[in-house]
Amino acid sequence: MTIATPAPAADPAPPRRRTPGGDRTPHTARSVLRRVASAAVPYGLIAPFFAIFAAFGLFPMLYTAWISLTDRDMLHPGAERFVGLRNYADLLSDDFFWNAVGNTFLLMAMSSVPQLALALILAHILNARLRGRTLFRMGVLLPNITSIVAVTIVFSQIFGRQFGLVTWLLDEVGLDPVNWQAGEWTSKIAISSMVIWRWTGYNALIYLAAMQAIPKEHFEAAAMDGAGTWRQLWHITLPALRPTIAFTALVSVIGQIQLFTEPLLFDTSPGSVSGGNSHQFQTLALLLYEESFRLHNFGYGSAIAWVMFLVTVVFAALAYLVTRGGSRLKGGSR
Amino acid sequence: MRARRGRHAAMAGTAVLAMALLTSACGDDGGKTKLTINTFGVFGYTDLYREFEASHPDIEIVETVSEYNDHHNNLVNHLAAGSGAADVEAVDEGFMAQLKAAPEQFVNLLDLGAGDRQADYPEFKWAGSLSADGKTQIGLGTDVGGLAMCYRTDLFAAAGLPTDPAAVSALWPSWDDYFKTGRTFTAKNTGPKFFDAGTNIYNAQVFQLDESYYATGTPDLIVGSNPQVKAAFDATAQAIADGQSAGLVAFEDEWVTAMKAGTFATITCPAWMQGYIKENAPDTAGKWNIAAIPGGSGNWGGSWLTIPAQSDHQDLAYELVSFLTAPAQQTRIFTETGNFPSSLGAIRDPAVQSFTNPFFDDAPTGRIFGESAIKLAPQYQGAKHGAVRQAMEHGIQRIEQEDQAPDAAFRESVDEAERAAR
Repeated sequence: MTIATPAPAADPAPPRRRTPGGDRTPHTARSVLRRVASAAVPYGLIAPFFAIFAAFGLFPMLYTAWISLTDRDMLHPGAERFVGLRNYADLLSDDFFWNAVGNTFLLMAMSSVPQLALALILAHILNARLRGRTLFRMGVLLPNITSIVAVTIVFSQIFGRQFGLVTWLLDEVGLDPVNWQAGEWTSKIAISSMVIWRWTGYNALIYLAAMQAIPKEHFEAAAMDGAGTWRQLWHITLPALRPTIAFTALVSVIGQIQLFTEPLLFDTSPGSVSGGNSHQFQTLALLLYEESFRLHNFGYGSAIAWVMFLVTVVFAALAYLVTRGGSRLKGGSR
Repeated sequence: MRARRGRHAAMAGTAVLAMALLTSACGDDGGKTKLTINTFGVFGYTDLYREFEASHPDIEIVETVSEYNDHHNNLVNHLAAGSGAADVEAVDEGFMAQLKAAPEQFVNLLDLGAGDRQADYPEFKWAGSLSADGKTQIGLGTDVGGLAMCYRTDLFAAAGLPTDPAAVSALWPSWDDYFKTGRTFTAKNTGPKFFDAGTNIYNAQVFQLDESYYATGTPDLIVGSNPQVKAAFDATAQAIADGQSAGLVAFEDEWVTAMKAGTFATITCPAWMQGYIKENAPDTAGKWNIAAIPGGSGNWGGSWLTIPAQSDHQDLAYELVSFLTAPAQQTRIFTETGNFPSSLGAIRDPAVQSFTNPFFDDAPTGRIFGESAIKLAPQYQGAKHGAVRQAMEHGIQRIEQEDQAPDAAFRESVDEAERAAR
């Protein structure tokens, strides 16, 4: 899978230096060489990135596109058949695919929105004068640097079916236990809680950095006019953070389209990659994995990969339009 | 200029070096020939490797042990890539149907003289790793998972049921009798449930069928039309509705917890399950015993040793495979680790026949599992058998975990199975 990062535009070559009268000297060949060489340096410097991107990004992407037009089984190399767009056509009439699309977007909404809202509030609190500020600021990043596998295993135990921590707590207060993995919604709540746990602190730090770039005078003026801390958040901080929020939303959405490890490991049934008995938390990435590496339908799996890529591109384009719209607005108010 | 050219050269050099590192292959070292073998779980071969090395001084055996699913997925990837597989690869029953559908990926052991071994294997074990056309034998059997039923004598006594293995076996000659016993047990309302998970009971019934998910010898899926599959599914669903199931998901952490806590009284017991129980619930020693499986016989799991066609040391690898799977070695492994032999010579060995397991109240496990293994008729498995089985398990679990109606669960499972096998 490839994340669609907008390819950084190659820096334009520096303007060629003109040595005074250089062109007319008899050593033209040499100076041409020199000019070519100095013009080539920037390209040489960025070449390794593009070489590696071509080898490990572009080539696999294009090769995946080719595979997605064939029907092949991993164990029978040489038996592949070109089937054109049939895999894509099958995909559109595949209930499992639409189920995975629905799950992916639901999980995206259920984890991104609370996560970014919480991150904003957290950043606002961290931006205030607190004792041990640095400690807290570092602390919110801890979930993010914890191994995702460890996080998921712990959460799976918290949300265990019969012996889980939540079930035990519910039982203590006299409520019926909940089979978290089995339910359509309960399983999604459990999984989005893992994502929220993992990414809230990370986004909070980004917001915090952006908040600190807002001139203090704005807040002081507002405070003088009697605006409380939440009013300041709403009327000063939020508008100033618009581009940052758009950026974090984009990154979060791209991450969510590829959501894989959490639903994979939340399915504690050994060897299962179906995202629950009813595929109730099977995301697109999980379906891709099941098709390619369990059922060995590589063509079909590649088609899913390409659909995921296209969806990501659409979201990236949307985010670009939104942020560009934002800067236009800013430009207009100047 | 010179300096600049130097920088260019350094840059180019770095790039070349990076590429070289990325594409470099490992060289072969001199001296001893390395023979590699990849396994999963516990095969109990370590001492046998040293013996083999002692008789083959110029060979060094290197074993890599991985987790069950990782091992098999790696194997498939290495076969697909054309390199990376070991000289000897263990394959479990759960993946064998899929792998033997690609016999060209493996060395045909019949070409290396494996035909001599056919008489030493029960028919189902020999056929299990034989290609569909019967011409390519890709593996020699290591162990089998002959079926029995493990039960908690203390929980049976509390419910007023007999505890002696012979008397318990007499309670359930058939699955109907087993579920009837379950109703009696459940009616006593002693707390624990009768069995652990619907899937373990359902699978045990399907393992016993002459024909299960594929029409014998064909790629035709009959999962939706085979009345015996439907009967096993419905019987299990009824038992769940009767409150006989502990509602666990087999092999999950909570299933292990329940095994320790004693919240179920019986469990489908292939030979290797003894190790599972002993390892996961050591405190329950002496509280278990082993009875016959309802329906008389059956097999779940068990492995083969195969030689990928990409191996550079095929003859040596075959020597190792025949040594490790020979009856004498299989007998030894059984007494040391509990893996039940698949070789008839080993099964009939007095050392196996007279073996009793102290953890299970000195149950004569050698005899119980031996009878189950010898009686077994082979069941044909199609290429996507594993995926089909999982689709059916999902249905049982939907009934158990999500209260889905059995008919709807069956229909959905068949749809999923047919999609997986397409």
